[in-house]
Amino acid sequence: MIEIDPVKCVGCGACVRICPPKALTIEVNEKETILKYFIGRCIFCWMCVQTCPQKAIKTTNKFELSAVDVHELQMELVHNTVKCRVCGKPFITSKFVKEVGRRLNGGFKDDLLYVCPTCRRKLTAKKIATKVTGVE
Amino acid sequence: MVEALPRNGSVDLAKAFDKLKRSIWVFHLNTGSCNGCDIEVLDVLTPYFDVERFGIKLVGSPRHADLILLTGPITIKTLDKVVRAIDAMPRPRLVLALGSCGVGGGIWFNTYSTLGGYPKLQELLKSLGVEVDKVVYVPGCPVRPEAIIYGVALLLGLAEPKVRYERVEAVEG
Repeated sequence: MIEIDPVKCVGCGACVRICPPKALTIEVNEKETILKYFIGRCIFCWMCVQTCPQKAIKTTNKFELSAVDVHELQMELVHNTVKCRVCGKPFITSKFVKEVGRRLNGGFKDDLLYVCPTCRRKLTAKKIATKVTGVE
Repeated sequence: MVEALPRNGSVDLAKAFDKLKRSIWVFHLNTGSCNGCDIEVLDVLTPYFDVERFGIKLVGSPRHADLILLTGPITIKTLDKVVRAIDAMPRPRLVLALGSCGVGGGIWFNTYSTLGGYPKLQELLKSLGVEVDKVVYVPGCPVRPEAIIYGVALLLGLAEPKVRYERVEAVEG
């Protein structure tokens, strides 16, 4: 089975995208973002280990994973959810926002960092339009 | 089909369940698996692991079996045969769902031609009135032979489960 480090993981969802049997899933709701790992469906291909940008996923040599109840085979990692400052939709984890800010080295201001992709597109388009035409 | 079930004498059933400590006979039921798990099941029975020394024996008919080794994601094509095989078993019925496919459907968990794992089959069996007394889920792709033996030990109450449901809060760095 794999082990996800709760310190290193930022909840970006790269592992969820790559996972062939979708043993890793991410659920975003108002309060929290939950990264779920269902051992019962994992095929132990280590694609998530390879792809994790934070190197948060570790391989282990545990294989005696039997359980009487399927729900015992579920692991959850709970992150905080950040809401978009424009539309108020939950879209990303707080750790992910910080990590992106750190990697961009201040290239993104907070007003764009805490805005969801759809709203960010609109904001940028508006900015360009204002620059070109000079009208608000 | 359902009327042919043995009389549900709960006292007798509990007694039979208590007696079932060793020498369980297994029936190998492939429900459309890729044969990876089936080879591992064979491995368990061959001299290297040799579970026949514990009295675990492979039998040719579900009517002789205490335990079904279920591999594969339960394809629609095999579904009626699977239900009939499980129904043919005498009580107490035990099932060992093997492999990622048997437990959660594996990479076929949401395709049109499979049921997607044992939990969904169990719901179906319940609606048909076929009761299964105990199930143990053994993940792995394919399952290691040691994991299969451990699963049987867990089923008979000889070992403790090693994995638990976990919910961890992420640490803000």
